[in-house]
Amino acid sequence: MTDLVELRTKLKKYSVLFVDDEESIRFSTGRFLKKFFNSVDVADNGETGLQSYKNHTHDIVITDILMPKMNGDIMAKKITELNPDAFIVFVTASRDHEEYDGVAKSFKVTKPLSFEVVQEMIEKIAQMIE
Amino acid sequence: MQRKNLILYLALFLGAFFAAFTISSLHDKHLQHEKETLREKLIDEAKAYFRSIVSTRSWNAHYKGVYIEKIDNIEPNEYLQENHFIHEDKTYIKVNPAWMTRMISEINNQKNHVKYKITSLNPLNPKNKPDSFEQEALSYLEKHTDEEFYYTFFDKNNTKSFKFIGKLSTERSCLQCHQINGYNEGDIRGGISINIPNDSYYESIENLEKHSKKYNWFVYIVIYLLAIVVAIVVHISQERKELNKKLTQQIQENELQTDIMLTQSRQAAMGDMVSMIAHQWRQPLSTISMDVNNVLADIEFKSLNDNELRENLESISKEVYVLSSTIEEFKEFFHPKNEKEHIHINIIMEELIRLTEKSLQYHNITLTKKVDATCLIHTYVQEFSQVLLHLIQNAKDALIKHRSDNRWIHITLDKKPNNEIIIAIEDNGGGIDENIVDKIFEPYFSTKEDKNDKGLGLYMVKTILNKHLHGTINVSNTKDGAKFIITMKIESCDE
Repeated sequence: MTDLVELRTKLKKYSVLFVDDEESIRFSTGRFLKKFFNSVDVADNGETGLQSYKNHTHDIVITDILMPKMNGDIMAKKITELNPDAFIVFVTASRDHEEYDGVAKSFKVTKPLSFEVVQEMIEKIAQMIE
Repeated sequence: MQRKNLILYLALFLGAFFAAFTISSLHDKHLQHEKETLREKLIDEAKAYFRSIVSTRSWNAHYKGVYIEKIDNIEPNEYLQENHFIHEDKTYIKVNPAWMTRMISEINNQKNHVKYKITSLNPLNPKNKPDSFEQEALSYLEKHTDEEFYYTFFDKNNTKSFKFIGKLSTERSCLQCHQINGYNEGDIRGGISINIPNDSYYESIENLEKHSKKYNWFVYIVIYLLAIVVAIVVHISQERKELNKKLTQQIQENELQTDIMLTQSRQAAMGDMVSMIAHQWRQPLSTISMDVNNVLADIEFKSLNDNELRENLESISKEVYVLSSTIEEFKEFFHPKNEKEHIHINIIMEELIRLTEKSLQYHNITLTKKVDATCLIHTYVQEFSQVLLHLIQNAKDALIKHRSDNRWIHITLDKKPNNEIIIAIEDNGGGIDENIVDKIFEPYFSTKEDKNDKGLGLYMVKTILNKHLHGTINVSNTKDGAKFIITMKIESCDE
């Protein structure tokens, strides 16, 4: 297991956008992400997420899939259209294997995120972002 | 059953036979008795003749013979002593009992149907010689001294007659004439033979017999007809019993079938409920797990501080409460109460929306409602909710399958003036194929690919509505989807 402190040092320079329609999840996940990343923005659906990305061009986008107004996968596609190198992490409740068309750099984790899963996610982000 | 019937019918047949036999033999006995009575009457008639003759003879014997004036061509009796005398130019001839009897009998035999004759085995007058019957009778009476009469019923060569002989014993008065024959007092000396033509007697007998035969036939036919009627009645009642039994069995089977279906649809509803709970729980579980992750990360970074720890723990506590109340809500919603409750219909609607909200949101389905009445209804709440829930689930499934965006379900509630409420559940999920629209309320009919779907949902919805809620359900296709319309009678709608 990679040292979390080490990962934190590595990731501290990156910015992240977290998109979820549930306020309590945005709050707790946002708080968690702040421990690792330089800056964390949150959005409550695909539309506001896309808007935020347009403004800040975050290094990493972590998003829920099923959301009102615009789903995470649609938003991811649009972000990739803007920036083909965009790095997107899908957080989904579904355990099914899903392909996300039009997204180059991405992976998927399944909710709810246990400490083990969340560590793996952070580690994988650190690996892929280099 | 067949064997039992056969035994029953056999018993019935034998019973009828014995009944008919008993009645007819009783009747035969009665006939016999009638015949006997008729015979007795004939015998009594003969005895009466005989006694009257004997009385006349006794009178004659008492006066030791009487003298009659000689008229016609009668001559004094050569067998008698002092057989005549002449007085004032007239001849008086002695007539003894035997001769008197003969004379009376001759007059009688000319005039009456009853003929009689004096006879003896040892007659003084050869005219009184016995015929074969008389000879037989007199010989019998000679041997059986204690008997007074001998008679027989003849039926020879189509002539039917009754022949009778009464015994004449030798009395003291007789000896004045008969001593010469060597008789002693008490000896049998002869008899009176009485011949009664008995056509009427035989006619009566024949009539009786004919009647009796008819009567027997009648008894047999009536009893057998009765037996047949009884057999038919028994047969019909057994058929009916059998039919009733079959019917009851079928009803029980149907009820069992309905029970099984109800159980299966409850299980399906339970599955729906579990899936809805899963959706409801996703958010609180995610929040809890992130709260835990925050605490664990702080420990890793050695940056744990009281304030953040408290915040995280308070958040966990809050979400645990959400989890627990969700379970309570579902439990309450699905708890079968089996009795009617008073409840505001909009409370049911709101509850329903709250329970389905997350799972609908998850599939990007917008649920809207328009309730134009706030009725306090009296109904089986759990079953009513189950019906609505199933229709929402159905709409949801159709939307997921047939539509990718702008999915919606719209529920409306209207009140009619005649204590009816109309609930419409409409979606834009593509509607129902016109070819199967007539079949969707039938049991075990399903278009869903899920192998756990038994195709009972809409059937149970209809059954529950019809049987428990005094309601009906209809479906029609709209522009983009289907519209289910429930019409329900309610006791009252107090707003």
